[in-house]
Amino acid sequence: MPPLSYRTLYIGMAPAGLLGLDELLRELFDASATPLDIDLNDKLVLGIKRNNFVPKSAYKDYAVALRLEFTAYYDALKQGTTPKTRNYGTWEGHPREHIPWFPTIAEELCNGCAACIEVCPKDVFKKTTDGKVIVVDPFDCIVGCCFCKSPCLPKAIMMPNREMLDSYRHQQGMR
Amino acid sequence: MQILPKATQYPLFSISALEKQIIQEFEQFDGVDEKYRHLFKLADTLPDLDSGLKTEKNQVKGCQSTVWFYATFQNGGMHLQADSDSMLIKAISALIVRLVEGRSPIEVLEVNLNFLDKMSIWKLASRQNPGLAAIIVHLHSMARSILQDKATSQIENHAAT
Repeated sequence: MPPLSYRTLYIGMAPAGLLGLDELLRELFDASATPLDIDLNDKLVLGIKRNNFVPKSAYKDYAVALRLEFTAYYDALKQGTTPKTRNYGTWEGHPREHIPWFPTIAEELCNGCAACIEVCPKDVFKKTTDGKVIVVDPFDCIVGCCFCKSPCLPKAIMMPNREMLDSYRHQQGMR
Repeated sequence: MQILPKATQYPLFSISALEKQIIQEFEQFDGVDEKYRHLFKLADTLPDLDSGLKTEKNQVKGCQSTVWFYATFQNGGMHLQADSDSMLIKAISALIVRLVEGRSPIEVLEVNLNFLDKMSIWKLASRQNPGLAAIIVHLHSMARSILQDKATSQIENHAAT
C-alpha cells in the first residue's frame, strides 16, 4: 500500500500537518459528495480523524478548512482541470507550507469588490457564490507580498509583517 | 582631460532610461515568483532607516503598510532614504530611491510608478493602487517643499544683499 499523502493545512490560525487528506478528498468525490451536502462537514472531519488527531474543541475550524479544500478540489475536477498539485516549493530552503505568510480576510469587513483577486498575481483568492471573497490557496501566496492589502478599501485583508519573517529567519538560524 | 560631472549633481541617465533599465532587469526573470524574489533582494539592499527618522512627518499617509521617506538636498540633487514594515513596499521604495538619486526636485516631480505595470508583477494598474499613489504624492510633496525652501532662501539672500 502506498504511503499516505501528507500536507499542512491552516486550521483556524494554526498550521496542522494532515495525513491522508488528498486520498480523503478523492474518496468523497468518487462517492459523489458535493460541496452542498449537509453532512459534508461530518464526512470530512470523520474521514480526516481516521489518520489524524482532531481535538473536539477544534471541530468547527477543521470543518471550515476541510470544506474549503474539498470545494476547491471538487470545482477543479468538475471544470476538467487537475486539482492543483500541492508542491508549493520552498522559501529560503524551507517548505513553503511551514511559513505562515498568507492573507486573512475579515469576513465582516469584506464587501466583495474582488480588487484583491484582480491584483493578486497568483490564485490565492476566490469569490464565493454569496459575493464574499475567501482565501482558497494560502500557500500559493508569495512570501513577502502584501499587494492585495492596498486596493482593499474596507481594509478587510490582514497580512503578517516583515518582522514575522525576520523572526522566523532568526529562529531557524537562517541569518 | 575630460572632467565628468559629479554623479550626484547630474544623474547619468534620464528617468525614462532608468525605468527602461529596471524593466529590462525584470524581463530576465520568467515567472512571477522569480520577479518577486528579485524585488525582495532589492528590499534587502536598502539600509534600514535610522529610528529617529521614522517620524510622522516622514511617514507616507494613505498607504496601508507603514513606509517612511527621508529626503536631503545636496549639490542640486535630492537624496532619499526609505524604509517600510512591508518587504514589497520596501522593494518598491528601493526602486524609487534608485530613480530619484541625485535628481533635481523639478525632475522628481515627473516620477511616477507607471513603469511598474510593464514589469508584469501584478495585474492592477499601479495608478489604481491607493498605497502606491500615496507614495508618489508624498514624494512629490517632498520635492515641492525643497523647491519652496530654495525659493525662500533665494529671496532672503536677495533681500540681504
